[in-house]
Amino acid sequence: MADKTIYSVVFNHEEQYSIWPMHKDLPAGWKAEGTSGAKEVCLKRIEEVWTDMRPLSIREQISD
Amino acid sequence: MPESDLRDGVEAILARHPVMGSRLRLTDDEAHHVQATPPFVAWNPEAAGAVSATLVRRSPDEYDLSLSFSPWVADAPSLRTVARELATFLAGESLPDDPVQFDEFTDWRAEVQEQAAFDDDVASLEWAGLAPPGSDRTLHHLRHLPMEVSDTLDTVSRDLKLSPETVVLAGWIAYLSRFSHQGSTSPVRAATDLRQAEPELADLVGAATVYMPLPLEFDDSESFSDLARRVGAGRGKQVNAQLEIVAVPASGGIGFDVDKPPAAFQMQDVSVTLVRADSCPEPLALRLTWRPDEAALLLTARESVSITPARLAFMVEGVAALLVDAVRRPGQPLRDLNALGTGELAWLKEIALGSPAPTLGSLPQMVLDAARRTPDRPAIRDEQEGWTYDLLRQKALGLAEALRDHGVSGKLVAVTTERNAHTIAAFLAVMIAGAAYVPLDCSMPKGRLKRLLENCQPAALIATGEAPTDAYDGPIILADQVKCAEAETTDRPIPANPNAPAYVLYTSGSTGAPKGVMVSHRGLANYVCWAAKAYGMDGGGIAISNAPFSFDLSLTTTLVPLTVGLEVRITPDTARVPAITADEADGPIFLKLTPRLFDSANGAMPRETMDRVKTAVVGGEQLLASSVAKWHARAPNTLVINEYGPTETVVGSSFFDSSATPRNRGAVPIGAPIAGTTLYVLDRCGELAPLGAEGELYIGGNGVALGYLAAPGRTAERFLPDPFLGEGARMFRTGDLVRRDCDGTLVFLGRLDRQLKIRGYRVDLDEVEAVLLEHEDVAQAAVLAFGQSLIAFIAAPEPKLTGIRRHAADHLAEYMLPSQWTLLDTLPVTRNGKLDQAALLAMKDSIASRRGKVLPETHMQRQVWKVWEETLGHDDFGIDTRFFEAGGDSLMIIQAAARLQVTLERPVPPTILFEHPTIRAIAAQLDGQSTDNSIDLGKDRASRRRALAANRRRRHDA
Repeated sequence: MADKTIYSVVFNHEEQYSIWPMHKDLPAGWKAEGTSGAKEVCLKRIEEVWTDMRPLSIREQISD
Repeated sequence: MPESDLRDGVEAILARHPVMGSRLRLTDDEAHHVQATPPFVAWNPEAAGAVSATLVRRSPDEYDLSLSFSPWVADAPSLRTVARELATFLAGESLPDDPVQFDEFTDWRAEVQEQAAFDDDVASLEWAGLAPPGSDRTLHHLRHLPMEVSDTLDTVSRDLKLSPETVVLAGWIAYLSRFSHQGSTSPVRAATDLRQAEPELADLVGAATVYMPLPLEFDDSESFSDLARRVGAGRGKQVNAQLEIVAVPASGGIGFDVDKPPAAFQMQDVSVTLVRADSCPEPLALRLTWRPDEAALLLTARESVSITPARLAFMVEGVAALLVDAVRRPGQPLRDLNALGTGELAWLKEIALGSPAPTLGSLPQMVLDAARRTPDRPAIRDEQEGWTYDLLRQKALGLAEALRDHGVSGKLVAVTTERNAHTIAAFLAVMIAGAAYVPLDCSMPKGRLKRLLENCQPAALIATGEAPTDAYDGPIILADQVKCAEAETTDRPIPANPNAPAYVLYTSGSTGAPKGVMVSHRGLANYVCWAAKAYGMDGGGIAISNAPFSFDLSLTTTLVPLTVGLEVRITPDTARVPAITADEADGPIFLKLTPRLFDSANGAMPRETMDRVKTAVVGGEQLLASSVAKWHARAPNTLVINEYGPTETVVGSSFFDSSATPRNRGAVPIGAPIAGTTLYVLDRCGELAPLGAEGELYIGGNGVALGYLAAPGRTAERFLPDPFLGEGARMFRTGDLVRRDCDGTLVFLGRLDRQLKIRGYRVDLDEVEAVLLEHEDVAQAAVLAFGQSLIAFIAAPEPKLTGIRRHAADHLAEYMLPSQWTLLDTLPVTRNGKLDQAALLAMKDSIASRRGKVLPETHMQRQVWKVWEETLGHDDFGIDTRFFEAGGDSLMIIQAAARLQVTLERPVPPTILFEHPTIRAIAAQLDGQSTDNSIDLGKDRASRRRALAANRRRRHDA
């Protein structure tokens, strides 16, 4: 069965990205990135924006 | 009125309906009523009688009468007749002569019905996550709907032009749809009173209520109103079909019925009120009864159903919650309706949580600390040498120093996976240097090795054997050439951000592209701390490292024991049972094996060695209870732990102590979460699934990996926001189908993508294998699907299949029975110790092509194939083989025709087999025929009525 759910691109405090169904409340600690659509659309967007997959705390520690 | 009059009245009425005094006698293939000789009413609780009656005088002219009888003899509507006739009798009025008798009804029914067996009894039980055997008593739970809800229910029913009971039934069906993860057909059988078929039957006493399957496909995007309409339409059709198609009473079905409101029968000055009538003539496992007069749901679980009162309460509360939600917003899609009561929701959230994790250090620090505590203890022994903890520390620190020269901090370092102590030291060194290690199995095909290196782009590579110079052109450090750190070197503080990656492990992805799982220090430390304690490693001993280092299973007997001062023994060959040479002085033995190696180890290891195995952790594949039982038969003191967890959540996320709960059949549960871990069973919509429902397992907590290396899209798809823990936590979507037992223990049901259907039946290959393994001669078994049939590969010490096949035929439904069998010395295993499915499939193809055999694919072909096999005495033929070429003769044709006739329950002239020499042709011919010969279901009402009347005349004439 094809997934007809509309998802949003979301990210957390560590700037880790994920997807979440539009019709559900966003879990605590997550923000919407702005993109929404079919799963493929959202995953494609994540491929573009999530270029450094290290958690934010690690990136900051290394740049210090 | 004197009490004796009332007793006489009851006896007189029951005497009119002798079926009430009958007992059900079961023979091999049928059940029939045997009449008892009257009087059969027992007024004394100690007396034996078909009907027990009690009479309590409430006031001079008011009595409470209660009648109880076996549910097989009469249904609830029967009591309305009894009550009305009692009122008539007591009022001194005459009763009509010659009431319709139950055996007249059954005779008549036999003439108009076609026997159609529904094979859904077991399926229904499984549906609700229940399995026999269970409790020894019937359980009930009653739940009243809130007043305003029952009002809304009436309004909604009126709007939909349906009866409230139909709406409640739709609610029950919608609730049960939550129990199947992949969508299916409703398992509910709704009570239908066959008295509706004929006016003459109106006053029939007896078991004339049948529970008819109401097969509705689920679609969770459908609105509740639409489902209710479909249920209403389906019930309408049922009434027409009910007489011809008779469901064999289903033991284990799921039912629905209605307990009609109290009815009063007034005759002159006598009034008899039927307060409650509850009798279900079918052995349904679970039955929801709607009581319209008090707007209450009564859920009944028969004895033999394994359900706890708490779970029964959850179910009723769940149905009530769904109905409450559905009548408030009937236009809402089914998937949006709440199906959990508040108590169940709170319990599910609580049980999802593992115990709190302790404060976690970093793994390399834990090993260095152990080395300082016990510097002289043996740490690692491989085939060549043995290292003390102090030597391990010096090697690791020396290597880490060499790595720092290459500026690896925050980067990845590849480590080759030679089976020696250097490899372990290198893993530690990489982490000490602030990098993450990537185990690299250089024996893998060159192309894959290249793709892995392109994916992880390591800053350096540590070679613990030969350097793979042709595959990698970056800096290579030869582990055995690096100087050890000075003995007095103090440890530098290890950079310890728990979010930093500790290692990257490659797993096979469905696409074949490399999938590198980045595990954080937090996740690694969480597992290691938990495992060392839970597996009892803190008291010394040796851990046998038998798994390849590129497989995360290996961590349990390498890095875990090194944090607590145990000795790690590295075995040279990972695909075999470890040859353990250990003596008494070595202390207890710890093993980590795949189920298949666990089976092989049992038997290959000397008994005295097995006896010293303190803990055997089995993981990586499904562990069967029979394997554990076989182990315990030889070494009863071993703690056998079934550990479950994907690489994405670090080695093990759940565990089950299989010594604690002996279960002899099927698979060992995967248990409960380890510390710092949460396990959620979610339905298709990502909501917590009701207790006992199938759902996909999601894992949250410390173990959740950082993601797939250089694959943000794939990571985002599987690592999702955790709505339960909050605070930006993530959870991993496993793709594993699970359900919870009544106590919350998780049971693994299979991969979501591994399920297969044979002729529409759901077949679980694991189950077929489990049954084969129960046979004492079967050492190993693997079953694969091939088209619409199954192939069994058996490794057995005795090269004889007959007994095994008989055992299989005895314990498996026909559609689950493998049609082809192959005996092997041992099953092929991959380097990781898992079953090599590809090798088995190749073997199957070569066997089939060598014999030029095409295996049966349709149901009919399989039936004919079985008959041929029985007749010819072998199975060396395909569906295109001619009967005479397969060794048949004309006498055998006649035998085969006779057998087919029995199997198909219809005439099969031998000429068909002469004219159609192959199974394919015979099956096509028989398939074509069956539609022509189908029994005429179209008997109209008039002819049914004529039949009933004729039957009755015959009886009276006789």
